[in-house]
Amino acid sequence: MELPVDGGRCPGCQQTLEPGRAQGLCPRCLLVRVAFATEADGAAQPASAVPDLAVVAVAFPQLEILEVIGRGGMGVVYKARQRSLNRLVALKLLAPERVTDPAFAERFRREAQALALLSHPNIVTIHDFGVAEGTPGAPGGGFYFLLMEFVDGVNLRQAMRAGRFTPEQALAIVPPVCLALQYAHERGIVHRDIKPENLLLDREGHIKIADFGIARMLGGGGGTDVSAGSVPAGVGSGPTAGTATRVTAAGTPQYMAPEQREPGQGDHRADIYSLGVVLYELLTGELPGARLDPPSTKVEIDVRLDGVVLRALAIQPEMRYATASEFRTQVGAVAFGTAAGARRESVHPATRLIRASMGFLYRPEELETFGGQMLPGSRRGQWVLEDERLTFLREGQQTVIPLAAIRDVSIGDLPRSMNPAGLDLLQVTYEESGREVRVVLLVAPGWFAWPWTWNAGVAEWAELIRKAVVERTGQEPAQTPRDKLPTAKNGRWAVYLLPLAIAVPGMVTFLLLALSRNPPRRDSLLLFVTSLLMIPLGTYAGTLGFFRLMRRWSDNGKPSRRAGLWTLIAAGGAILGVAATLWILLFRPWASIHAPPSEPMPMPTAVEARQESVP
Amino acid sequence: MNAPESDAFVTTRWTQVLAARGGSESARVALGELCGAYYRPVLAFLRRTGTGAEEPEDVAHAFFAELLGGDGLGGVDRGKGRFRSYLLGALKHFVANRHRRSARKRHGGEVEHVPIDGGDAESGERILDLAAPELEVLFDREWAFTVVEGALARLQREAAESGTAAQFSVLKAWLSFGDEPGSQADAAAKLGLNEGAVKVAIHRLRRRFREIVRMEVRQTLPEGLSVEEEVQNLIVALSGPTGRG
Repeated sequence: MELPVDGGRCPGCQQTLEPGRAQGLCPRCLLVRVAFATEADGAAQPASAVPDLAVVAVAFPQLEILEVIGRGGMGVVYKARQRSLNRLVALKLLAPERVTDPAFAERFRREAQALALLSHPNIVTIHDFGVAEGTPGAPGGGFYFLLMEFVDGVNLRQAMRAGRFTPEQALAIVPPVCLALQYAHERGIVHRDIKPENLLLDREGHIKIADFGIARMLGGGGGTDVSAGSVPAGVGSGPTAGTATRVTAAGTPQYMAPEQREPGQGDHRADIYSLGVVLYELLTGELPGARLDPPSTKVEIDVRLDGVVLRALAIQPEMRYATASEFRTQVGAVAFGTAAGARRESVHPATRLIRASMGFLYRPEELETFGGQMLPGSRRGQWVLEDERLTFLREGQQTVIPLAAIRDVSIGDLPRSMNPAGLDLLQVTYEESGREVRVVLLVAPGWFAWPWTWNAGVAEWAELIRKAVVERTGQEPAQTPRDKLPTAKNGRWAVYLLPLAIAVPGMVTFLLLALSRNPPRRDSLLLFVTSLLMIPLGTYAGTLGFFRLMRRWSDNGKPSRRAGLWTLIAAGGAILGVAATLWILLFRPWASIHAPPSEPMPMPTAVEARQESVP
Repeated sequence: MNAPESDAFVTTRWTQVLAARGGSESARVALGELCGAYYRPVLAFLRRTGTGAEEPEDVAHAFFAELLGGDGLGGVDRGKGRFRSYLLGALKHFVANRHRRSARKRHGGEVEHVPIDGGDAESGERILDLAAPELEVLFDREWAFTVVEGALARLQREAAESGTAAQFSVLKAWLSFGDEPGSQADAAAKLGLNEGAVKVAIHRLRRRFREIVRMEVRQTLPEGLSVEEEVQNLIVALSGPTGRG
């Protein structure tokens, strides 16, 4: 930043500076910072950005400027009286230091025109906008201003400071905000900076959203395609691509949706996220932390609210409510339910999140194919169990299983080729347009799990789904025994094929090498090939047996009869593997495979040769 | 930070002086340091009121010598005034006495002449109205400058000690002026830092500046008066037209 030189005036307060004093800085602004910055807010907005009332009064002769009613990163707001109509208005001057972009004027005009078309009882109306000229010394030539409806009341932040909201009060605030957001979103306008400071409560208790689109106006970036009515309501149509705008990151960090941190990201669902943060704060009195604790763990509220709030706060936009009206419906259902004491009977029962986990979705048919078995980690997504439905979310697609349609929940074995350790899978059968559909759920909390923790997780999910279905329908879903599941037999052949697949290429190579030369010794060749086969087979059988054994023990607390068999397999496999490895290492059979042409028959074996060499 | 500083930035307390009413040695030292911090306001005041043939600096020294000499402390108000008010009162008293003495000298003898028409035709000097508000503003204004410049000097010294002098010289502009985002990027480029680091550095600088100013201002206040109010008084003093004539 350049120190002011032209005319020796402070760019902040327009005071003439005395040369050579205070290191060229403005002593008044220095002290203003000291006086008005709070400890918590060290980088507070410089008060120097607030133009004096007198200066503003000169620039706006048609207004009687009454007082400053707010200031923030976006600018200053004055309460004023419009002389011609004798009404109170709010005059917002956009902070001159934010207006650095030469393209700003054009963007400002376009956005303001779009905003002026918004006419909604829950949105602060814009009366006029423009640039006020004739402000001597003001950087940038003049004030960019918006003349708005004056709301006689407080903002939500001030109301929160004055006292905690009851859950009922908090819930009453969200529906009108959602209505207004839906209205604006349908017109392609995203607020981008929903926060308590921008939600105004008037004296009658009506709520109004202020500063629509200002964040975008000041956010820089290229042109936006805002035009009234260009985007249809996005209900059920997934992401409404049209509302996405190209802007740099602007907004208030604590209330910003994760995708808004990336410049140019964030559509109308960013507003839903921000409103979710506001609701969370209203309910709990604090902002959601890095680990998102459901609100009911912090304060005593209806647990159904957890699901509502957490859905709005989902990291991925696809997982949030698709529209503001959907959010409103859900909040309304809880609010209505709370008031009437009703629960499931309401027309739109609120969904409650029961459990969510990373995992995979397979069709059983896929597990029957070799490729399906060999690619276990290819399609990771998220399983979400709510009290209405079970959903699998992957980038750009989702599979929804209504709990009421679930007929069967069973635990089975994963095909053994994927699964020497004996992992379980969860199979859910449900009805979809008259057909029975089977899906396999794999729930993998992380990339690594012990077989027993994995299986415990599967059992827990099975139990949760079962309970949720019973609660929803009153009927227990069926349960198919482990060995009757279609996946049970599949892949057993792979248990044997897999080690062979590892061993065979090596053996073939070896044989080809050996046969391409002189006739090899048959007995040592046989031994070598056998031992090569034994290493993978033995190791594999050992591993299999070990994990099966662990599983038996962890299941029952004591080894069963089958566990004895598996112990035998494990021990045998391990001994075979170790013996074969040792034999190869010690006797180096490859050394004696080729008979040197000059030596007479019969050739000594490797062992004999060794013994002979030792006197 | 508790060690007495060698230059204008002292860490003594006006309350200490008030409590001891100048009786103790430490109170005397404290008063001396407070006076040192107020040297420039006093000098400015004397320059404005005129010191005749004598250099203003000499007169200022004489004033402080008298103040610290013992008699001056007797005049410390028992009330809860600010040091600023006390010093200004003492200064006016001193200047008035001086003028009276020099007038007596000029007019020869012990007769005291009382100006009748508000002007001293013989000396050509305007009779000073020591109660004029502009003198007070001038005094406060100089004091505000002293506080600000002292704090800046201290920040600069601290920066030099921690090896960030270059950073300070670039970033000090943010202590008073606005936050144009682009210019922060320029500063970052100039200093070879990333923008986040510059933001943090500015934040720290501002916080430290605030600490220093508040601490210094607090030294001159009796208990029960808020620092904020005093800082705002200083802002008011700085808000008038430039008072140099």
